Amino acid sequence: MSPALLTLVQGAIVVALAPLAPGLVRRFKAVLQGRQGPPTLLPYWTIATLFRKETVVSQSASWVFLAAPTAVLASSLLAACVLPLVSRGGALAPLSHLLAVSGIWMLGSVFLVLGGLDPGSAFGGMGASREMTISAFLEPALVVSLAALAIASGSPAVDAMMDVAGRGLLLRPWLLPAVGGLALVALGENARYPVDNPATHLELTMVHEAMLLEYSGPHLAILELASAVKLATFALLLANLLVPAGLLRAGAGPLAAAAAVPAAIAKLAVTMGGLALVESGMAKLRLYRLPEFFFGALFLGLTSLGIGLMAGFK
Amino acid sequence: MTAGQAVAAGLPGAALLWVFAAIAGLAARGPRVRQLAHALLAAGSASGLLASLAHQLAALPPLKLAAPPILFGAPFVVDRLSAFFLMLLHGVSLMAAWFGWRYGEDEAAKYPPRLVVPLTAVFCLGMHGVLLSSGAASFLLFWEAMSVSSFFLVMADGTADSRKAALLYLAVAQAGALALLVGIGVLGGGSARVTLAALGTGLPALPPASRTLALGLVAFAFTSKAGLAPFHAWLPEAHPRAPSQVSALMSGVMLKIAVYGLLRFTSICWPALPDGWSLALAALGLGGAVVAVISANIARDIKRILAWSSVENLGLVFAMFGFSALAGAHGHPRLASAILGAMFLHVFAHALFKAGLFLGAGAVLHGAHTAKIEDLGGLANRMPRLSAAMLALALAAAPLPPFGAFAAEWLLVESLLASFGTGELLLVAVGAVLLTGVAFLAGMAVFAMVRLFAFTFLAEPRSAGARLAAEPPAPLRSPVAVLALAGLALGVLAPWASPLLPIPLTRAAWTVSAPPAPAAARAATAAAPVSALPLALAAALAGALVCAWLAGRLLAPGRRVRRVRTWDCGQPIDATMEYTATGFSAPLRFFLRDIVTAEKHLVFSRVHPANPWITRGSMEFRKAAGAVERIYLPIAGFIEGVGARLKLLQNGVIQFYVALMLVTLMLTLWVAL
Amino acid sequence: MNAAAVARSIAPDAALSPPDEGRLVVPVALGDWEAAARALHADHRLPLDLLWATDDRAASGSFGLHAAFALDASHEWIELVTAVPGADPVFPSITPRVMAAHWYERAVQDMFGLTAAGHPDPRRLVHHENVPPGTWPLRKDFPWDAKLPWAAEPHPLATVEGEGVFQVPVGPIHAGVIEPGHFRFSVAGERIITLEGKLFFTHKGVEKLLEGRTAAAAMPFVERVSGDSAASHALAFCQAVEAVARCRVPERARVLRVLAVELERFTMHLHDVANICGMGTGFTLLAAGGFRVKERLQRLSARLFGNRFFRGFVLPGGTARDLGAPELDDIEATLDGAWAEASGLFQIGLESDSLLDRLETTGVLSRDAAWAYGAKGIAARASGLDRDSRRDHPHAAYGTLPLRVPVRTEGDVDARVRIRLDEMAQARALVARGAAECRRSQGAPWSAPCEPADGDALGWTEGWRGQILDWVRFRGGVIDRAVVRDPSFCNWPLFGELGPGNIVPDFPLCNKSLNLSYSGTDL
Repeated sequence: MSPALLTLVQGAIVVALAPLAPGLVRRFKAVLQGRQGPPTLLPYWTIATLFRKETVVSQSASWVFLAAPTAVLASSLLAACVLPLVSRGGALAPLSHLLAVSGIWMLGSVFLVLGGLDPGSAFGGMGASREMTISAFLEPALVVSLAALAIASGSPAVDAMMDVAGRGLLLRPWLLPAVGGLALVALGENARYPVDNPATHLELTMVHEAMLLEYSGPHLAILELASAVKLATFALLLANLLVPAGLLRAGAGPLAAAAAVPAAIAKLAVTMGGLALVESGMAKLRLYRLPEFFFGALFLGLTSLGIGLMAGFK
Repeated sequence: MTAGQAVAAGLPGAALLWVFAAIAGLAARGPRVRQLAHALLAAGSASGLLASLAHQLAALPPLKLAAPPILFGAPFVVDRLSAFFLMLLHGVSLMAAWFGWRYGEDEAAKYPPRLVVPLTAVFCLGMHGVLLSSGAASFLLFWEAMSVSSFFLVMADGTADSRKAALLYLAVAQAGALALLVGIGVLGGGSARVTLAALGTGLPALPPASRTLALGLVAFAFTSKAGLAPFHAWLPEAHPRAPSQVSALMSGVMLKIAVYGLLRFTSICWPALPDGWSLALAALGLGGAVVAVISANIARDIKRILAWSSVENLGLVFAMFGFSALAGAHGHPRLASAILGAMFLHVFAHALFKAGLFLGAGAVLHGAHTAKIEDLGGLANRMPRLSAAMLALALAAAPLPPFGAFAAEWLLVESLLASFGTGELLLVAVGAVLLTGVAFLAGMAVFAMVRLFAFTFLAEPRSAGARLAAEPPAPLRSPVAVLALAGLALGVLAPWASPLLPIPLTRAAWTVSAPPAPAAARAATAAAPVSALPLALAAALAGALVCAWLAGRLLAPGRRVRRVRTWDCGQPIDATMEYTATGFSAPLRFFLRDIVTAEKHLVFSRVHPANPWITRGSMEFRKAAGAVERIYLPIAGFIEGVGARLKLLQNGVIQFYVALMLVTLMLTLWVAL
Repeated sequence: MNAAAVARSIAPDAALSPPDEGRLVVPVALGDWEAAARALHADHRLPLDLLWATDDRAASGSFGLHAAFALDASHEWIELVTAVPGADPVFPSITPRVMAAHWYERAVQDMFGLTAAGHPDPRRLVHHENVPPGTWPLRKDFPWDAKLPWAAEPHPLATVEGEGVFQVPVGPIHAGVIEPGHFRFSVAGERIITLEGKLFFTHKGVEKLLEGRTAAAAMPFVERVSGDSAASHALAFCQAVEAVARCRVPERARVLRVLAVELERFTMHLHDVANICGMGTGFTLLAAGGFRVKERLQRLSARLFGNRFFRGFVLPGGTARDLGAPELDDIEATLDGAWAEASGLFQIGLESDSLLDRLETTGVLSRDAAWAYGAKGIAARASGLDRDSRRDHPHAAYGTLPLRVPVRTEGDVDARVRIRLDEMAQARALVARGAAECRRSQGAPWSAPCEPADGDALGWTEGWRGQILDWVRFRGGVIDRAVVRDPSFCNWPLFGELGPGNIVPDFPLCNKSLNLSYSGTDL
């Protein structure tokens, strides 16, 4: 398989598996709470149904509202293609530079925020204000955590960080806080506990959902897909940092490609199980307690840098 | 015509055209002659832009111009450094003249054109002269021309507030000029005929105290002009007051003239800046940038937000300069030049997006008759073209890919990562602080720019002015669009921009990550030409956009769109129920309440004197305390009571621990060295 | 001081009849109304528990204005009465000094067209902008089936001045399946500056519909005033009817009534704790578990009463049926099982720092505000007001059963949750004692004839939300005027005090911690 094909295959697999991620976490949460829960594959049906529906657009909204879903999905897709999720060394792997990745994700957040503000609804503004705060305050934690990994791997590209993943983490235990920091960033960036409650019906407490309130039909489908892809991307990235096994390489045959799918599903299931545990065992943080979360994530990243410095980054 | 001839003709020609523009502006009685003056301004700018581009692209050596020297015989000289800044000056002034051609006429009642047009020409001439002067006296003269003309431009609208802001500005500018004069006097042994180049020769002979004094004076002169904390208080007052095209020149170019001055003087007199000064510049730059970006998130006037953003960006520039000087002094010239390259790229990008944003703000002001962000909104529907250009500029300022400032940040982060590989503890520590700070600034800048764009252009208008606004005429929005495109081009083509910069951005600069890497890892990422990464990222973004758009098209066959009112929960809603810019940044205000200086004051007045429960409320923000109370006095108090405060170490606030960690990291290394 | 002594001190000249069923009626002149109310509230520190009007123009040419003040210490009520001339229906507002009268007076303005002169906030309350001016539904000359034209009267909500201040409107249609209510937050971001509700979207005309009906025919209406308090509303209303009819309810029926009301209390508190800790904070484990346990109690209600909401059991004169030993066993077993599971579940929650962090210091209601606004029930007891009608005005079998009233002073959501947990334990103990009592008095009568003819009386109980206070007047065997006051009516305005200072996303938690009824407020 050529690097270009590798990138395409990875993008296709991640997008195809993405709706499974929210489906799995809902299912696991239901089981943990003693409920039956919705079908695991429901997100696929939701997205498919939404694509067939009529689009309802606010009269107050402008072209920004109409353009935002495309931009958000583009951000999620690009991140899903460049990061080492199912494969390594794809054609776009050099673009997994830590700053590029944070920029790509930030672009998605910005357009989501703009789309939330455009219809002039107080809920949209509420979600937008909170989302912007979360994204802005998690930026240093994301950059510093990835920087620690970049120093260890000798390359600012996340793709190369797979060299120090898995067993590499045990050899360089000072990297573990950075991975923890990344996990916290993942929770915040994907609007999960303890930052946001994706299952709530209370408009006033929403973050991510509040920005989507005015979206309907295909627009909503695109945004749901984009957030599923983002969740799957973070889940696979974290799973790969801990267990970098089963990643496709350039030159891999179709058999290996076929084997990559179950591996990815297994990784998704494990991370979503962990997420369900987190989300069942605690209350959401009070919004004005979030700085502790943000600075906690940053603290983890800086701890890695600090200890790494003492250890001579070895 | 060779490049050399173009430069020799273009730069004096530009000055001459601007002189004519000033005369025409002064003489003008009607719009015709005034527009001629603007045309002359534009022609001068175009001439200067072409000349400076020719100088850079042809890689000419320093060139003595044929123009007659103004004072004491020192000739006008252009070299790579000044040509870079000339390029910014003439590029921005071209756009400003284009914009002013229409804006000056439409806003003639507010800003008297007989004042604005000639003063703008003198202002540009002043900056032009500063960049070309090789003699200390003419440098000072043009410096003063620049300061004084901009002082009058700040109070062009004649309001009391503007006069107050202008006087504050004048006070700081004159203090800076005085410091520069004395500094030059110390360095040049009191001679007025001395050339800039000669200032460095006498330096080793000076006693150390005089050297430090001179450095302090020069540093104060340029950093106060550039709005480096803590000398920044005047900037957000003064810049927004001027007509928008002048604000664009002040924020986009004049601040860089100060950077130029610092670069020129340090390169001549202090090629190896003492560590203390480098660290102070970096610390003040970063600290000031943090305060400024938070203020940008609190300010409620679009031009004021932009002015605060300028303080932030200049702070970042000084931080880069300081770190570069530090790396250079510690024997890492490659690292130093890489950071300096990032700094020049950032200066370039900032000139483009900030000028564009100020001109766009002018267009908004022109259409909606207010710059108060809480009275705007809904302009994306009313000014779709301007809003698209402004969105691009806001993303560029954020800084987000694929725009110029992002490329500069990318370079900077590469260099910071490289600094970890130097093994020098001081560099590593400063690099870690800068990395955290830069990421924090990036997040906050995104916040500020999203806030600026969203509350100006999105949702329903919050005032009659915004409701009745329409797309500004082409002369007002085209310069904005051109600057947005230029910012995009700079971002995409950044690796190839080095011919334009004072120092080359070598391909190595993009791959500077120095720590010895495992060969396998290197191979994985180095497969593609690294220098093309910004271009590749832009292309990938475009590709992803196309894919996402196609997905939406193909998967949604019906595409029926119905327009309805925004969901109102069953009770009619209006523009008073939209989020405001104040509300948008409220979490940030709360999270950073120890830094933020605005305090919410609520007043509840009783409706009936006997009933304390039924009240009418009003809210306002008051400035809690000035920089003196909040920064200087606490520092004094801290020093006084360090012992008493040690117990505060156990306060359980994690932000504090993070800060403490950074500080101790720096201190231990400081001691260790 | 008992009621007679208090009455003498405020109206020395009034001709007083002796207290009847714990109530002393004190007639005052319209000119003395404000001074008398002020003296009772400010000097004697008596809480205002109900203020209502009657249309007596057919008999006396005037409207009646009544206010009930509680003397908790001596287990009595003082009913202040005055006449407002029909030709000039204006009365002096007592709201400037008795904040608790705030909503009552506005409701009287809307429903009777009496003007509260000097009211600091005389806006419409019950009527929305679509009701034409001059619509006074509770006047006798207003037909119950009148069709009203659609109007567009001004209906402003309180706002806060200032650049950057905006309003967040929520409701009446919400994302969740809850009752309709509109809330308007004035904010400059997340922190609530002021908060006002626009309720009364559920006007059913219950008070109008009750007029002309017999007591038995009124019961289905009263039980549905607020569906989650059917048993307690029935109890309060029946006691008012029984007081008019001079009916002695058999002892066994009194105990059976306590069983129904305490079962209802336990069920609803269980729901609330699960809802606050689970849905309000996102600790979904507690919600899922709590609601599952609550379902068992609702099924118990279905087995005992034929419906899931404790309806149809309490009737004038006694109860609809007797409960035998197997049913008593069922009650006790179900309750014990539910308590065992629920308390274990809630223990997990109350040991979680993440949950406590959400509950503590959220939605603090000061004792002063609780007193001034006349807070009822859990809201009052969590803010240090020690009031409970079961103890202060004994009724049913509460006088004979042991009762300890839990009081807390923090006034936050946490305090309200813990008061509920305490009351659940109390309810369980009361049910156990009541069941034992019932087993002992097996075979005793559980109903008595109840035929009200003429007269008026108060009826009350402490529902799970708080004090329910009804006033009913019969003329010729049918209801002439009935006032049904759910504690929600008194507690809704509290949000204006406990909301501000919190952040918007904590408001649902504050809201759930009071869990007020929209329907019960808007009859």
